[in-house]
Amino acid sequence: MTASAAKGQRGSLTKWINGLACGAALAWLPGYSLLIGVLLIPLIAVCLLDNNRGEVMARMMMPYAFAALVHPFHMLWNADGSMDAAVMLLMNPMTSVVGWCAAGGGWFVFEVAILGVKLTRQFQVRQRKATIAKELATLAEEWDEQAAERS
Amino acid sequence: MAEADEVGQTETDDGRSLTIDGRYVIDLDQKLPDFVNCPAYHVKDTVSPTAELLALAPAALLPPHAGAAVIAKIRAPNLLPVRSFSDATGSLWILCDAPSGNPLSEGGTWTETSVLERVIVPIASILHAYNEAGVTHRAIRPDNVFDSGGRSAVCLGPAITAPPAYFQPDRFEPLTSALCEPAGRGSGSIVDDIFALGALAAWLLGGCTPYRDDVPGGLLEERFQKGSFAVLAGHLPLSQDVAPLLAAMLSDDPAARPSPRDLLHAADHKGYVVRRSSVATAPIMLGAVRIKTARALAWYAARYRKEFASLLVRGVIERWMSYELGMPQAAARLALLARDATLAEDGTLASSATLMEIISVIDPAMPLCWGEIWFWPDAIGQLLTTALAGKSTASVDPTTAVFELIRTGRLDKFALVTTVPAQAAACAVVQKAARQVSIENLSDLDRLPYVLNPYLPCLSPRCQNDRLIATWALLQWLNAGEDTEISGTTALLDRQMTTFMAIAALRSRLVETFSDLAISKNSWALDLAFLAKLQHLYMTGPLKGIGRKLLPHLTPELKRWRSRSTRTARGEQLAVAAGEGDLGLMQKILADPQALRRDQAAYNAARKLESKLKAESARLDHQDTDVPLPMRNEMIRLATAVGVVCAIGSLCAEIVL
Repeated sequence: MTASAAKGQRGSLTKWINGLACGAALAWLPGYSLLIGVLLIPLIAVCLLDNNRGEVMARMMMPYAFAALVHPFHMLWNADGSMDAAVMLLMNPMTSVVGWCAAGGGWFVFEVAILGVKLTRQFQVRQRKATIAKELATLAEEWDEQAAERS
Repeated sequence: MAEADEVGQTETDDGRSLTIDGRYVIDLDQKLPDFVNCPAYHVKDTVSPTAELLALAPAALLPPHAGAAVIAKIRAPNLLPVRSFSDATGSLWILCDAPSGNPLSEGGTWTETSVLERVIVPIASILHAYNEAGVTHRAIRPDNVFDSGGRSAVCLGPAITAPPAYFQPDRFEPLTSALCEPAGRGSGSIVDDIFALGALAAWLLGGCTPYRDDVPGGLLEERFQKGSFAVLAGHLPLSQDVAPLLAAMLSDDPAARPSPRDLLHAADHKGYVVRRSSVATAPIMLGAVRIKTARALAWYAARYRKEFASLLVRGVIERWMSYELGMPQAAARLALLARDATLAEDGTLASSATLMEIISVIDPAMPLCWGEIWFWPDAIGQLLTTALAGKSTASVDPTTAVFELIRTGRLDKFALVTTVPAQAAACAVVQKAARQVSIENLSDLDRLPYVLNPYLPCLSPRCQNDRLIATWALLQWLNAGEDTEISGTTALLDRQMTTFMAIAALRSRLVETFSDLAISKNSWALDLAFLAKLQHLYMTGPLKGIGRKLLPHLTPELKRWRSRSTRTARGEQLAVAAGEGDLGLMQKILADPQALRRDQAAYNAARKLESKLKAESARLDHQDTDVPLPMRNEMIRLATAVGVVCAIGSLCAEIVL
């Protein structure tokens, strides 16, 4: 048995376990599953739409979505995790908006970090080029042969 | 003017004057008519104000010969004494008494007795003194002999106002000297003076006919054919006492002339016997000329080369000399030379060296013949001086002849053959001098006159009129000269100046060889190096004028330093050194090989850095500013961490609230 075949078997096993876990959650905890499912829609969308880095981005956005999920989850916990309470919570647009915005905030933090790094790098290049130009001018003034001929 | 005062030169508001030996004051503004063809100035003896003196300044191109200092010290009755022979002022001055009478050239009436008693005997006495000192006079001619009238003896003028025999008219010179151009006559021997004295006597007895219009060389052919006595005195009604005397004195054979001692008692009518040189009974025909003597053959051989070469290779000359002149040894040597001689296309002897040797063998008392010119080896210095100044009257360039002689070593051949001992020594002197100053090509020949004659002033056209005879004087002249520059000048010094100073240093043994000081060409930088060495060797002190003149022209030398800051710093140092007249420091600033190497190394490093920076700049121009993948992953991890912190924060807030 090759390593890739073993890996493929492990991947399909994980999918099976995930599928069974989701099914169990829907069967036994439908309120919590609904709340979590709705609030994690952006992550699912990123996973589905971005083939290259969807999983990574979703993993990165997860803590943000979790931060937004804590309060509604607590409220649902207090309402015994009933389906009605979950629907009530989801009927409040602020719950969904805050949850999705939190997930978007995760993406935004990442993009801002990337932009910041880009700008920093550009600034550093410009600064280095200015330093080089200055050094070249100094060298030319000191060693330029044409200048020597003129003097 | 302080420097000038040290050498006795002073300038006053109304004129210039020189003080020599602390007592003779020469007034440079009071020029007198030339004395014996030498420029003369008024001079005053401060110790004896009534003495009438002359200050003579020999022209730059006509200096006295190397032995002039010895001649200047000779004192004899009826000889115009030289009071001072001084180069202390930087140029040569000869101070002598003004003659009391008129020169004989102004004419007069002379009898045999008066010529004997007032001319021949007194001058013979002088020549005896010269002979004892081992020198010659070589300027016995009417305008250099002065007659104060009455029964007193004539007074002979100085001998050192010009090169030996330079101004002697042909008729007062023996054949062996008259056939040379004036610069090529040399010091000769004392019997040449005897000839001049005899010629002077003949001229006086002949009624003092003017000779100014004599054509140079006009009488030569006749003298060779008939003999000098016959031409110069043959027409005179001479007594039985005087005729043999003059015949002996005017003999064309130097060995047949009496010595000065023999003439001391000429007035006593001592009998003189003229030795006749061998004369052929059957003349040999050279062209249309009938030749009876070896001397005439030697002279005509150089004139009728084709005919002579033809007779030589056929052995006619050899047989004629053997049978007619009784010279079998010379004939045998001629036969040897003729066997090796090759003829040119025009039928003449192909080699000037062979002709020279042949002529010397035919008559060993004749001067050296090379090409078409005749000269004595001891006159080579003056011959070159005149030729290099373009004043030579010879039909061919004497410099080429002298160069060939030195290059081929033929001077030694001539020295072996000639019967004039002084000339053999002169050949050795010339060869030694040529080796000393490394004469390797024709252009190097201008060094030779300076080595051969210490009294030759610097012949640079710029300072020739100043007759500068010493290095310090030339340095002072350069230092004091005005800053006016001739456009297109490429150096401060010229070839004559550098040669003059290098040879003066060699003569003073300040350098071991000529090449230790000489420079290959003149440029501002090389001149600085040369002058810096001289400043050190002669310990001249500051030469601010020279430094000031050199400074503006040394900028190109500064460009050898590539660093601008070094150039600026060195330029400033150079200006300070020039202001202080320290040529050595100037040279050190300009020629610092270690600093130059360091500068070059720094330049190379700078060039490397420059190319590195340019490459980096080009790389930065095209650098992608996108965030690389590892950094992107880092960013994801960072954003995740922030999210985790937020989540924990949110959880904590939910628990607390």
